Amino acid sequence: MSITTENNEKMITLMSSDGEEFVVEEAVAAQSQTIKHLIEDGCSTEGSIPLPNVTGRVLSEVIQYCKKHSSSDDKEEKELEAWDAEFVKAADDHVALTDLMMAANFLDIKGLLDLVAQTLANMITGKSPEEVRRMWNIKNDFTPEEAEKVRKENQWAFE
Amino acid sequence: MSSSLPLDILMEILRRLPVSSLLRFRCASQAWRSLIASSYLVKIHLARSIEENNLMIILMEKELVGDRLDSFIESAHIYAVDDDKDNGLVQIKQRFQPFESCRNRATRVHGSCNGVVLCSDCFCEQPYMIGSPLSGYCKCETPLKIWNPLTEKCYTLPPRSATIVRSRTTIHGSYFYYDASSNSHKLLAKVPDPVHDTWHLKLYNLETDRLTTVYSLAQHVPSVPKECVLVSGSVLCWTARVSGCEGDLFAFDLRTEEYYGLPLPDVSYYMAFWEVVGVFDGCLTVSCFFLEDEHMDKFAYEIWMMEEFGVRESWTKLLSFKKDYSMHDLHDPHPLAYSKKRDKVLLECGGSYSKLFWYDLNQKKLVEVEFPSVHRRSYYPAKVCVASMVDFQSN
Repeated sequence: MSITTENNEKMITLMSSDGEEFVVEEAVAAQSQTIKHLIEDGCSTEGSIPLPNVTGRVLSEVIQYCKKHSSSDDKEEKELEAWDAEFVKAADDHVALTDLMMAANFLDIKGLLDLVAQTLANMITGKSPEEVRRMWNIKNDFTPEEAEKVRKENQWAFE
Repeated sequence: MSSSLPLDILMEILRRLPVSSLLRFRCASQAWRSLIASSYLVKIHLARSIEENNLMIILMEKELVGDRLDSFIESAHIYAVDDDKDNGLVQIKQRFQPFESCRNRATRVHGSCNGVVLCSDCFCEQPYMIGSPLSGYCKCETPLKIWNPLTEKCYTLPPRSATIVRSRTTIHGSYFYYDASSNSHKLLAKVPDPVHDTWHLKLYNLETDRLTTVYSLAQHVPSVPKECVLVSGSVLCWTARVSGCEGDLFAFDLRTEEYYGLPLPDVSYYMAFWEVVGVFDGCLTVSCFFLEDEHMDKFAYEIWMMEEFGVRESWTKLLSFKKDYSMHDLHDPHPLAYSKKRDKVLLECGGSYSKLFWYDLNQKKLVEVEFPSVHRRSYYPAKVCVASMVDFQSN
């Protein structure tokens, strides 16, 4: 389904995994290389584009990012940086950020992927292995002896 | 909610982490450990580190043991640029012995390339002078090593490599670099041939363990150029003083064996001494010690970068400062690193020993870097290397 607005802007409908529909300008949706290719291949003409990997909550955040980045040009770089900082702050915690990053990866939006990856990297830089395990439910599959050995190899990094 | 991290997502996060975090996270799980050791992660992490200019600054310190002046222990201190710290540097590792260094043994760091440094572990007869890549004398013939100071992975090169860097036979420097055209790491040295009253360039290929000699440069340049730098992994550059005070810049392309002159910045000072001081931010960098007019009290330094190699118009002045006589330690300034915000430049000056300064590009002022924890008095020039997880052996 493609609708045209008053300014002659072509509209695209995106459908999230939980069935929520979002109508956005093509230029906004095309920030995603994945969607851009789908449009080019004619997948958008007969209805909405289904995005089975992205929930409505995450998709609305992604669209918010794409809207901001398709309406700004390079001159507003400073302002855009500040907006990005606020945007990732609002995403709240590492779970929301991980979801956002997975969506950015699937939708192939490089700017968003870089932004969220850097935010997560900054978040864990100073953390201990235990804290990182808790964040992403990683199972500690080392025996205590093994763990001690690996730790000893680079003791300085723990000090 | 995501309870697990897909591999490609995890890689994107890991490649952005500092080496210390990666080394710590090797303990998270078996999967993380093998991921962090994987050649793919090491490669993309290095690429990112180069892109972001994540440098470590290696300072070798010599501490006397007891009261004998010839008995000492050397240790390495590693710093990174950190704008939030008072002195602009954060200590990553302190006072550690790179190898099984015992008394009177010293580790010489000869140069760095792609996240690892080339060094040797040797006995030194005397402290050596600041400013040249490798000088001083060493008696021993211990092999050369490729060392990652952060992971402490060490690879010993075949004995053939040491024959060209042995300092009794090598004059003023060896160079460790990556030659993209042959996809190999190489070691270059200027070697005298006293029998025939000439000299050669020796090239050692680390990947093939082959040693080759380049004769053609000596045919153009009869006496060995002293301070040289290697630009873009293939061009040797140096300044030669002609008629006492004027400098000229020369280049020799190791791939084509072409020898040619390069233009210097277009300035007209009363008296100027040009010196190549290194490769900074990817550009050939020269210093100019000059007098603006005949008043002998107005000496000043300038540092220029050739942003596009070989292009006269691309010479850009990085910084300048007056040399006043109260600052007698300001010899041979050479830039080591930018601050993260790129509003300051870390400069090393060699006097009787090495000193570090921050040059503020906006205020055009020099401030000496204070080291609160160590009483720093080093005879050895600081070395800069990209922070990486590279394990040379596994390449």
